[in-house]
Amino acid sequence: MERISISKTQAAEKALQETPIPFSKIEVPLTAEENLLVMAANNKKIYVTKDLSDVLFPAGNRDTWRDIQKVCGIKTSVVYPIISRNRSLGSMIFSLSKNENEISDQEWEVLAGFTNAVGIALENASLYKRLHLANQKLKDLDKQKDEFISVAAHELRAPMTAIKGFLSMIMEGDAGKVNDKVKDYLSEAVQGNDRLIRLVNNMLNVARIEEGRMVYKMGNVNLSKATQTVFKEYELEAQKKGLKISLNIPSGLMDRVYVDQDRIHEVISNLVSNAVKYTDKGFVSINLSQPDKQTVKLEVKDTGLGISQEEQKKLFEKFTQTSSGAGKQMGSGLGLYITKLLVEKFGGKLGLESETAKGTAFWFELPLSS
Amino acid sequence: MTDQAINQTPKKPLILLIEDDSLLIKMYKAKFIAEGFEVIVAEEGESGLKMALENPVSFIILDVMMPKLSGLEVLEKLRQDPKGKIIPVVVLSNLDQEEKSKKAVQLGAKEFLVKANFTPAQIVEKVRKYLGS
Repeated sequence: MERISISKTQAAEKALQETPIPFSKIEVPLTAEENLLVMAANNKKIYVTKDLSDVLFPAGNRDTWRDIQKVCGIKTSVVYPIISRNRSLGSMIFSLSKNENEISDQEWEVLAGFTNAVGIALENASLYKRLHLANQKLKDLDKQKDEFISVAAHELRAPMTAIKGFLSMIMEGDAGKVNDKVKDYLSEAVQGNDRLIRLVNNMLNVARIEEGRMVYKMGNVNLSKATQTVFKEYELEAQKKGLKISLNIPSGLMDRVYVDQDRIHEVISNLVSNAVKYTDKGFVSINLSQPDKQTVKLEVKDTGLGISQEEQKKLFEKFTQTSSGAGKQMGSGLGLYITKLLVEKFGGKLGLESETAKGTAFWFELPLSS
Repeated sequence: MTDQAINQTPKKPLILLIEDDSLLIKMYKAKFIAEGFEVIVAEEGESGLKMALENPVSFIILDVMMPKLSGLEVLEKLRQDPKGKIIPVVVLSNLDQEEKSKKAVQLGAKEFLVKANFTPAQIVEKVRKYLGS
């Protein structure tokens, strides 16, 4: 056992001055079975002695402690075990200038209460330390996970580039004439590979957004124009599926928002492509509106599968897909998560209304730029 | 073929591909040759820089992560050379770190592209655009 703390009273300071061994060097081995500090801690009992050397020997020699006791006027030393959760954490020494029979009940209570408080404080400190260590370990693990994703993603990209490149070269006829059936199969392979590339891109983007490493090129963007661009990109795909697709922009709509042009394109694309992907018949309509003077709203409404209340709750979480959606189309479960992060980054909010088998309306609202 | 005929054949633009992944070398090389370019290849940065300065190179396609000299270091050294600094460069990488991309453009690269997002045909198209042909 070693001494870790002493009270800051005059008497204690005097005792410190008299002690030939530096305070921190006063150590008592746990094998010193007759030492009262060790006995108190081991037996969880209180010990009282008139001889201070009973408390500190075998650190130093008994005569030294007896001299100090005399100089400081110590008549009684009381040793308490410091117990927390039934475990001894150490011992407390109270050196008093009165005899044992002169200590009042109240004084005994103070000694016991103080020792208890020390026990709780020590326990808290050790819990805090453990919590801190555990927290640090989690942070390290989280960092390792991010690094792993980043390295894995980059390492995946090289072979995927080669697959994409060679497949596209075959399809373009670089290796000779390709019949339609081969072309058809190759195009399936290309699509599969593109999905992998998108997944990796999304994973890297999520990591970058979450770690604050994403660089945004903020500027004033005309939301109607941005939406029109996306609309044109998906118009043909929707029509091929036999869906009606429409874009409705009220005249005189205020639509200037302060965002990153490429990222807002990603947000709108995500919503529109989801609507087209998960709707088999009916329509997809994209509606811009102005709920109030400071806000512009974009809504993408479809007559698709719909999303149950239960699944709506988890929809914006990472790697989540609706059970119906997952079976139908393979996505990464990252699109809506990224969409939400981006919309929030631009000071807006993202939401949905949906009814199973009837359809879904995803919307976001953004503050108009002043 | 007579000497006359050879002289009349328009000279093919010479592409220097600086890339350390053998699969991608094979792929880009095949595509550029099929599209009427001549291609020389360096498999790391140091020899890439040397080849850029010693050959009549029309265009450089530069990878970033490479042994010896990184792509950005090659670009930096290239820009310090009066002959090297006029060669157009497109940086192709599978790392899409914004800082690197910015640095590459600051150092005079035409573009910083993520390889996985482009087919070889699209890269050829970009090179043609920058060569103005």
